[in-house]
Amino acid sequence: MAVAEQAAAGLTAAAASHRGRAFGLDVRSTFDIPALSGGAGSSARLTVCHEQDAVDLERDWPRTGVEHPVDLRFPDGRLFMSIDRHPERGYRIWAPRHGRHVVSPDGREIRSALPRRSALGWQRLFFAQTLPLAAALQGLEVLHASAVGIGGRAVAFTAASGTGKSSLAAHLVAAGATFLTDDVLALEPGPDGALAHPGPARAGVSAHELRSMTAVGRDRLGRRVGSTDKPHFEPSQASSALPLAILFRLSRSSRFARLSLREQLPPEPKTVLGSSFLTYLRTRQRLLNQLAICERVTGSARLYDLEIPASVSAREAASFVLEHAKKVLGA
Amino acid sequence: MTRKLPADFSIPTAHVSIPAHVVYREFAAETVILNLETGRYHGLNATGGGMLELLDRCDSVAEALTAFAGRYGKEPVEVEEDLRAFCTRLHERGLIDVTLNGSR
Repeated sequence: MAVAEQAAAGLTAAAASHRGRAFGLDVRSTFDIPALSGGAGSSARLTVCHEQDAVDLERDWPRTGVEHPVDLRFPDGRLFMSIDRHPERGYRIWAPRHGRHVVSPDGREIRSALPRRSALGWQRLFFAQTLPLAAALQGLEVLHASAVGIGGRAVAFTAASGTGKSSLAAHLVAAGATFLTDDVLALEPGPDGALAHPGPARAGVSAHELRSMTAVGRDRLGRRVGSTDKPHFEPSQASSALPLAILFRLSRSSRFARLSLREQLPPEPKTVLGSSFLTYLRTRQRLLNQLAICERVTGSARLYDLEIPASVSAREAASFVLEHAKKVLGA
Repeated sequence: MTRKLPADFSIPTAHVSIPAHVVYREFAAETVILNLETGRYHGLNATGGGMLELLDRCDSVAEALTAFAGRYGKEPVEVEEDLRAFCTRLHERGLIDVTLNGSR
């Protein structure tokens, strides 16, 4: 805590006025970060965010000794997102028109150059990459997963991108579950297993999925905060971490004839290890954290493979999952 | 760098140790070996996991061989080749160190 306190002390009282929580981090910031929960901060993990001019941020970033673990591009060759790493300076995350961020090697400080055009745009990069990286560097394990709360326990969904884990979570929230996180799930060891931390209160839901919800269900998604490729909402969410009770590994295919659920008996470690997010982050400590969380999850949660036929809607799948989860949890 | 071990290495003179950069955990479904240098995970089934646990715990490969054979009600000579092949594969992947006659 000493280092974090020192970092926080570097901010003026006015500059530190923005506070919130997400991914198990207490976040203090010189700029407003919407969608962070306002829950009481008792975490030992503090991350301080400073806004910085893009020119200054680039000038400060070293020119030598930099590795380039991530370089994602559009089909026409334009840069989609890059992540660079320097052993002493940390990680620079950059997505054109979505901002750039430098995360310190210990995850306790983020310096951000924010684009002026779209608040939602920089928030997406910040919540999808920057803050999860800070969480992982501070010892939390992050999975590529959505999650909801049912009966006070976390139910998570992992799958390849595009399978529908966010849509499934949105439909569960519309059906009365508590929103936990949309795309990245931060876990830490808890007294009896793994604790699942709320992410930011942001849920992207496609227009198609919205149309299939009832008016009450849409209301449960909260305030609509804008649109990118899909509308984004600000659902009310769990105020603290929940014990992870169920992890579903989803797969969707036209080969599947019907919704099918198979419990992994015994739970398969690769379900957890294979869901790891930020795969470029392979420090010794991160790898050991992965293994430790894998032990916790497979030792305490129930793991299922859920096969969803292509013809089955996310709403139908959510109904199926909710019924099963309630039965398992006695909720 | 490929680490080669003679395919017919002598079990009575062999010792196995787990390198500092390797950790493993036994799960109900499998044993997971993590190589911290490469960041790669390796999975072993129950039989392989049992072999690794014995190699790690016993003072020599010969002792591990006897214990492993005993678990399955076999004579050591019946499972010797399996254990030798197992050691060779893990050694090549840098997941164990096999020392022969005191030299690695």
